[in-house]
Amino acid sequence: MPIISIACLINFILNFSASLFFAIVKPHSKLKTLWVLYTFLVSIWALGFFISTVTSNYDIALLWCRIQNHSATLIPLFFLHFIIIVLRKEHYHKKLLQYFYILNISYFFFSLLNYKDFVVNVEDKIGVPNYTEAGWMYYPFPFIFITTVLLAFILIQRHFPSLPKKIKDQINLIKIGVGIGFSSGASSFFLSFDIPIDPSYPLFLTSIYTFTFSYAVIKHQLLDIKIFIQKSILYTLLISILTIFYILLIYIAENIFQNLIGYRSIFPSLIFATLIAFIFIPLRHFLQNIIDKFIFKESYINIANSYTQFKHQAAEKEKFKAVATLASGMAHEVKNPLTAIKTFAEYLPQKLDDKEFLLKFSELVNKEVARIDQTIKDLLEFAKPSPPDFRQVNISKLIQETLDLLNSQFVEQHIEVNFQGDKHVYIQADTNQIKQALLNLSLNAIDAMPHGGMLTVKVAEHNKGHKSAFIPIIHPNAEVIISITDTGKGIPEKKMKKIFDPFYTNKDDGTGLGLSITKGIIEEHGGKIKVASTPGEGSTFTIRLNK
Amino acid sequence: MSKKILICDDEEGVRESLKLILGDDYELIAVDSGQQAIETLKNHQDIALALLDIKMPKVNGLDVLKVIQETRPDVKSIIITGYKSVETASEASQLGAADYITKPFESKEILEKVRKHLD
Repeated sequence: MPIISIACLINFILNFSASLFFAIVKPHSKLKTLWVLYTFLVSIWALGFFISTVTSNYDIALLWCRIQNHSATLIPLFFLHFIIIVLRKEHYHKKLLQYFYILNISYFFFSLLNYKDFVVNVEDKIGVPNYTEAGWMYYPFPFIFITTVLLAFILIQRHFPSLPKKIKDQINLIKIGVGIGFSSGASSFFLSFDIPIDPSYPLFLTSIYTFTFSYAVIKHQLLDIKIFIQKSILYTLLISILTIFYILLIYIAENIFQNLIGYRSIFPSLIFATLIAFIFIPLRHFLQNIIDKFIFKESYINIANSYTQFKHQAAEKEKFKAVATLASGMAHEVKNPLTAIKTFAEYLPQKLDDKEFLLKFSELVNKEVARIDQTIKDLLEFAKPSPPDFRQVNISKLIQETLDLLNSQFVEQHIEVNFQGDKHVYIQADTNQIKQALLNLSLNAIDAMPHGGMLTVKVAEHNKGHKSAFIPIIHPNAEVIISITDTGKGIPEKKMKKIFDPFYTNKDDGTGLGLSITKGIIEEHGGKIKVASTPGEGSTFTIRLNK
Repeated sequence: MSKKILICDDEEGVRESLKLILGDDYELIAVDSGQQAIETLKNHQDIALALLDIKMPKVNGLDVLKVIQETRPDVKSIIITGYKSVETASEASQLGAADYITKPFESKEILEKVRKHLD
């Protein structure tokens, strides 16, 4: 088989499977469609080149040579469009792109209409069989080809400095791969015009762009394709390479044996093929492992990191939301004292001789200022991050404080609050975390009752049972049960299982993390939380904490 | 004889401020809860105007307003609210309040509105 045919066959297999693969996988995007079109056309070009150079039938060779060349006329166009999208300049260069579409598509149609003057003939040239013989319609081809590709590279250079780093990485890889690919592909023009440059070996390089592109997809998320698909791409490429390698090996081995033995025998090939088959799977696994280790290890870590970061950000957002709610309630709490101070200050000038007034002024202003101060302190206390600090805390007092914090919310939404239970119940807990958990649950209850209702909070001590009666630990089985009941819209049965899941939310502006964070806090305290609900009647969250 | 005004607000600061503003021109009775307001209205038939804070625990300003409509329609009511909410204003006027004031209030505003509805 001529060298050029082997190069084209490899090219065809790689590009065809790549275009097929990317055509199937999601997500679908304009960028991906263009790349698939472009790669598909390259594979047709490679196929045409392959068939025309291996066949001994003139008509077949001519037909496929024509198919090869005509399909190649559109390759630079789709590449240009692809690049413009990667550069995020599709709108900016809209007119330019339109001109080049008109230019290239017109040429495509014209050359198709005048196909006899495009590729007039095929003939053997400098040892390469059935090569293109160019007609007058073919002459513009290299110019249009080079102009379009050059334009793409010029645009890359022009917009490169203003690109974000990720896109810069993608572009660099594309540049290298396609640069080599186009140059080597363009080397086939020479012989079409009877310039004696053999493209057989350069054509092996055309496939490089498939690899660099795949690498760009995998390493730099060029197509935003998920990791497991990225892996599949690599594995597919790997298997294609291995397959091609083995086919070549068998082919070469067969020739060697034929020379040695003097005749074609199937047995050496069979033995060789069997040997290869045994090595194939372990070799594949070995290579896959190396790929995983070196290429994807980083990606997994990045994914894990960005997930953690996202979760952290969402948790912060959730906290911020709670703070914002508190802040708006606090604003009201502050308005009242300010009103009093303002009014008294206003009357001060005309009451300077009124001793009673002056005394009242002093008393009131001091009191109201202290109130404002406390309000602000409460808010800051909640907002500041602090390391977990487990100590004896009065859970009833914490509950009362949380309810007080939300007082204005309750009043505004006509929610009656009913707190039942002993005023002095102690547990081992971190004050801020428990307050946050209580706050989350209270805010949820408020959200569940937009038109008012009743919130009942109960605290009770409970002895679990007699099991550990023999173990002399202080409060061996005592636990505290807190229940928060609202009379809101309730939670449907099918959603009950999910409400503690992270990111599960019914609200438009919810992060879905409130309950999951609450559950996390309770569990960190060695406790349990569960919910019971009747749609239309309300829900009860029950927390059990150890003393 | 100056007219009697009932001031009903659970905040001492607000009560004292209103007393300061209106004390020179009117006779004032200040109470700190809705229940007390209702009691006072029963016992003082000469109250001409009531200033009612909406947001109060248990018996709020709107509840008092309802009672006034039913038992003392001669008493004019002005509701005081910290929230500028459309619902409260329309609800209030639907319930029969003559006017409403938002907190923080201007002393001039209070005087104007009280004068307007009493004289």
